[in-house]
Amino acid sequence: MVTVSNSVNSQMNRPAYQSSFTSTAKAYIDKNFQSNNSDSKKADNRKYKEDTLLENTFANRMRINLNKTLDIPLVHFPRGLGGAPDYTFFEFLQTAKFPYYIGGPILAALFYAGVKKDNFKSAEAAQRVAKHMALGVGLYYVGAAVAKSIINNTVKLSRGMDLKHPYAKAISTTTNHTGAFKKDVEYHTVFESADFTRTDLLYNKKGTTPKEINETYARYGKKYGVNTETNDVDQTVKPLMKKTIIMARAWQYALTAFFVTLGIGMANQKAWDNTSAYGFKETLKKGVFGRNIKDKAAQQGEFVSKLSAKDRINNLKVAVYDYILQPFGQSFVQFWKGHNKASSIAGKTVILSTALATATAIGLITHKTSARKHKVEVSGTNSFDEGQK
Amino acid sequence: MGNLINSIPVYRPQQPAQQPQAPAAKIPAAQTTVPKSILQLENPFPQLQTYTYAPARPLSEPHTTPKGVKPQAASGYLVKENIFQSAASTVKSYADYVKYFYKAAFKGEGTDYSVGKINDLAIRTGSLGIAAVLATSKMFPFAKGMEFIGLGTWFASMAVWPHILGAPIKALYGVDINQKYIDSYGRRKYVYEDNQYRPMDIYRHVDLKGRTLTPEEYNAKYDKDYVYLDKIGNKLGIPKDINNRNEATMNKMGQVAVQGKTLWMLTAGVMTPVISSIVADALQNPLKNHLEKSRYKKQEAKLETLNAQVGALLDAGEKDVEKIMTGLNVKISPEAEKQFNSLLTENGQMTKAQFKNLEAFLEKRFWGTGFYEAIHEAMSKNLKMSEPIITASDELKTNITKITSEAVKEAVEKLPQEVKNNLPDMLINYEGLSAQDVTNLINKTWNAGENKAMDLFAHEALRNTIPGKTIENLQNSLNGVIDEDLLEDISAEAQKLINKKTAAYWEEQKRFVVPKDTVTKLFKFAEINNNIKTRIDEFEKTSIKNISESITANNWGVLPKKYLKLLGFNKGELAIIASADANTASKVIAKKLEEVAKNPEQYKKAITEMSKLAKDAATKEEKAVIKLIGSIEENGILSQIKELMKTTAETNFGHEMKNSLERYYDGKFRGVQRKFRNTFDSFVRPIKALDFFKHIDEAVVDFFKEYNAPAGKSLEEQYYASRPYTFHNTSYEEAQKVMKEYLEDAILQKNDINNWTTKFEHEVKGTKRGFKFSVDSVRRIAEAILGDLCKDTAEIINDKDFVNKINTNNQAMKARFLRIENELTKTFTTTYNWFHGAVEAFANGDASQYDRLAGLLEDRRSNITPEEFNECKGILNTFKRDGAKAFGDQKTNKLNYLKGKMDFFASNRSIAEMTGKNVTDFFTGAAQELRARSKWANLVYGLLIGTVGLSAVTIALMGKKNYFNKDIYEPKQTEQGAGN
Repeated sequence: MVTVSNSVNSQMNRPAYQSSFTSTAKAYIDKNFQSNNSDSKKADNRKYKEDTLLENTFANRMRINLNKTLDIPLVHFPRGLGGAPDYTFFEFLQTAKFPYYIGGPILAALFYAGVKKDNFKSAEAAQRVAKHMALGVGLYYVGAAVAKSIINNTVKLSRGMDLKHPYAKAISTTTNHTGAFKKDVEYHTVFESADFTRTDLLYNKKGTTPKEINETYARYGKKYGVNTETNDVDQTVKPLMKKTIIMARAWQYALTAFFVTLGIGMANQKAWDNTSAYGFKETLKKGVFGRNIKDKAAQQGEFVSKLSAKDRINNLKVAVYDYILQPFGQSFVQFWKGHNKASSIAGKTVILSTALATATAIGLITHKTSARKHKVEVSGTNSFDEGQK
Repeated sequence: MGNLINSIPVYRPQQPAQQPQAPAAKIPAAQTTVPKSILQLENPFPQLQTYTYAPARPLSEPHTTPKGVKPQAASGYLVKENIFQSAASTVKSYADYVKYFYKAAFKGEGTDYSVGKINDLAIRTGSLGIAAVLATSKMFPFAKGMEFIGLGTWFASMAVWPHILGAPIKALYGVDINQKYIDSYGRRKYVYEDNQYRPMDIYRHVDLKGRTLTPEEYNAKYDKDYVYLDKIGNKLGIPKDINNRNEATMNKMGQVAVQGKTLWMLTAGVMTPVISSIVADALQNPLKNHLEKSRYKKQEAKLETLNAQVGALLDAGEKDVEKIMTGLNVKISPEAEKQFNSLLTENGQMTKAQFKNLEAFLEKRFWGTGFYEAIHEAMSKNLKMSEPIITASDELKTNITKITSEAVKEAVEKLPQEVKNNLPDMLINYEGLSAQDVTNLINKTWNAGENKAMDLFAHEALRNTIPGKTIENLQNSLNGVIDEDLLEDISAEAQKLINKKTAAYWEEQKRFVVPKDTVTKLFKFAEINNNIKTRIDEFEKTSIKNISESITANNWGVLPKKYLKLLGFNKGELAIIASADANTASKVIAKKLEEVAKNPEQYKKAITEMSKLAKDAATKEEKAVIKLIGSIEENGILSQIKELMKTTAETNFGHEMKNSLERYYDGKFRGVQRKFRNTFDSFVRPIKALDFFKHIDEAVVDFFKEYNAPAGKSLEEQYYASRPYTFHNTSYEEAQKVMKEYLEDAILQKNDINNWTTKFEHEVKGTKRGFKFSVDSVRRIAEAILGDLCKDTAEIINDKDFVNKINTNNQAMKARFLRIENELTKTFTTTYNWFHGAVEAFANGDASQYDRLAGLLEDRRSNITPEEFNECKGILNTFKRDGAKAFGDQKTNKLNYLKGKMDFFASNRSIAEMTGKNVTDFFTGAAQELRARSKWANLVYGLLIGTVGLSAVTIALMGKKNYFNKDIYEPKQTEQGAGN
């Protein structure tokens, strides 16, 4: 049934609807692009028929990350290059990760291409610089991840909310006409938007009593320090959640700036000169995963290795400690000390300000989002001041 | 007719058909909630299901608006600004972002929009932090600057690339993927940021140039809305007669924008580093040159100040350390002064430990300055600070008594008990030397007296007399009282013990005399010299020292590569020069130089350009060198300083100090000269090499010419004969060939005498080996390699001064090479003395020799005293003025003086320092750099071209009908208002 209300539902920003206007007008709608909200017989075989809160487990999140990463080249880029009408902002943001991750390595590669490799001395020096650059790129990403994780954990511990909690957004096939490179799910996190937080997903839909329905909110509420014995504890908690999300996001970005600077500063220290990727690799290859070669092979003059499980664990410890932890710690100390006056001031400034910013962030988030900081209006009803004066 | 109709594109924005065959007219009107469109009522294509596009329209009148309050009109508008305005508003918006951050981070207030902007802010701040951290870890301003340039170009290219990408898209399709608008809240947003949200309204009153007008202005100009969208629609090829064309246009714009922005994301990761790398590379040279100039200028001014200060002090004849310190504006750091003062003692006497501390302090403070030696010497010799004294105090006297008493008692104590029992009480409780005895002893020594300081000689003398006197006393009083042998034993033992005890006690009592005034003066004097050293060093660092951004360093960075390019080496040759061993590289270079030498055009160009480059480079450095060490016309600052320091040192600290400092400043002087000689030699050697290659055949013929053929034989014939001549076993041609190769190799690789004198005999078979046989040959080789430039080359260079400089340099180097003390020396100082010849010729009226001799004299400057230099200068000038008649009777004397002073003797070390890079090394370094650069260029331009190509293809395909966009339009039938 074609109704005008249908057409009203579809705003002008919805994609064009296609039909194959070729020789005959009879089958002018490509079956692939048929809408599903009609009487079409086509089965809806989407994995998620509606937006679904997913279990917040590590495995789940990894699976989603992998999925999202693969989708960047396999779905989002083809759809974007084709100019898919139902291309979303989410997809744009996903494609934006591509330059973020390849820009740094390419810059390092360009640097390395420009050094004198014919000259042993300068090639060696350049290799060292290139190593620092590569490390810098690596520690940059590590720094960004650390900043994020500090905030995530703070929020999780103090408020019970996991900012990484994923949900699957079911993509309506009525708008998803495009068939190939089809996209029927987007993975988001519940708290990614402060304006449109998907608080609806947090209700226990199977619950029958307010208490059961609001159990997640009650859990958060307890952490926030609100009275959880009310029927609509969700209404009390939501404004606080919004505030938390905004503060957390702001500090995540701010801390990222500090931690990436720290990361680059540490990557630039001498401590890393003594460690080599080759040594690390060989230690792992021979010392940890090396095959135990039988006597026969030994007779043929091969390298004999007889490694007990204990040896292997020990070697693994050596690999991790000598090649990662020790230089990491040393580089931190060297960054603090500096090798001249300016660099020592810079190092101390970066380290201290990072520490200070982290403490401020944790302090503010735990302090300012607490319900105890907010005035409760007692006006007969169970209303609650959002705290947004 | 049917086909024609079918071929008309129809825009169908939404609904699918459920029953394609069902005529639209049958749809019951009651099912719709809005009035049917005309199209639905009068369907001109009954065979088709017809659908229409209903615009977004409120379902009912907006009754919800409270009375008296009018809804605010949407007030968003398109942003139209040029790149500068855009940059300005970006900067301005960062101020807003700071506000957003404050509100969000400290108050928890904000929206997705404002929090998102904090990310931009954080990325920029973080990057600045990174650049600052990296810059502090760099040693030189250039490296520091490049960190920020790198950061700047990174962000600039990040910002510029979407605009570069957007330009052709806009030109082709009229869609600006970077188009921004201000929404009703005043927030800047990208129009195409969210493909699901198309702010169509903002296009309503936009004129054809894309400017947003007020409705009044707009309506005065145009008779319908959305003229701008119309225009874009035309560019996008949207059919004109379709329903809801503006929406179709908007959708098509959306398609192009999504494609453009995806392309942007696909390419940004490559293009940001690529553009950044290219731009930073292009900025390197300007930054280097700017730093070089600004730093040199600054240091030059400082050096002028120093020069003026020194000049004023010299004029005033100042010799007082304090006043010189003020005059030169030398300030000792308060910590150093405090530490120094804490090491001094009030009475000017120090224990050994204290003295060691003072020495250690001074050594540390002036370590590596080159004049610590002078200070040390001054302290130990001139000032006699290292000769300790002992004061003849009452305490000393009492202690001497005590020591002698204890020593005798201890000696007695060692005897067996039964012997001890029989000893007199006087011995067992010996009281030591009496006060009178001690005083007498003291008075006997030199320089002694009550409470007077005894010098080293005096107190040692005193110490040596103590045991003798004690034993004398003992024997006087005990002779006959006890057994003689026993007395001998006791005396011997007592003497040993006294010696030991006094030695220890003396060590304790020794005081080093460090008069506070004297040592403070010395410290200050050292500080003055240190200060001058720092100031001179700073100047050198910006000019002649090979340190980042100095004039020399920049010349070295540019010149060799330019030479290589001028000579036209191809890629393969560069690869060999860069990576092969020196011999192979030399062969390639030789081949190329031969090629160039054979082609007159190329030769002329190469010589002209190379000499121009070398001249520019050398002139810049020479200016700095002249400032430091002066020229034949003027005195440099170093001579002035040396003069001042010499007189001051002599007045205040004596001769030794003066000599030490003189040596120090002479060394400094020579260092500057050698450094410049080295650079100059390196830069002009390739020119000489090219010149040499042009005339190599003549050189080879010349080389053999002087071997006299035996009577009746031609030169060619002698090489066949087995005669005791050099080269006798080789044919003339072969000897020539071998010699040519040898000379080529020598000028390219072997700029060292040792290689000429010992290796060539091996090359040319049958040559007798050993220095005494090679004198002639070596001389001829030296002349070929380090002779004057040939006439034609000099003409091409066409700059008499510069040619003279090259020739003088070569002459001086030649002389130095041949003056190493060995079997050749005698020959080269007498028979083959080039200078003597030049001096004679000049004295006999050949005025053209003046420039050369003046140049050579300048080269000798650091080896002779200023007085000698001035004397030589005077002789030269007199000859120049008066010609052969100058000096009359004195002529021979003067000539001999000149010859003596202008002879070149040099140590191995100074030759090594003065000798420039050999040609092969010179080109190898440059080739390595060129190759690294070309590798970089290949990668960076490969990426650039690849990405641009990919972008071009993608852009060409944008906005076309494709899998995702079927471009089906509905023809317009009647007038209707849907959004138009």
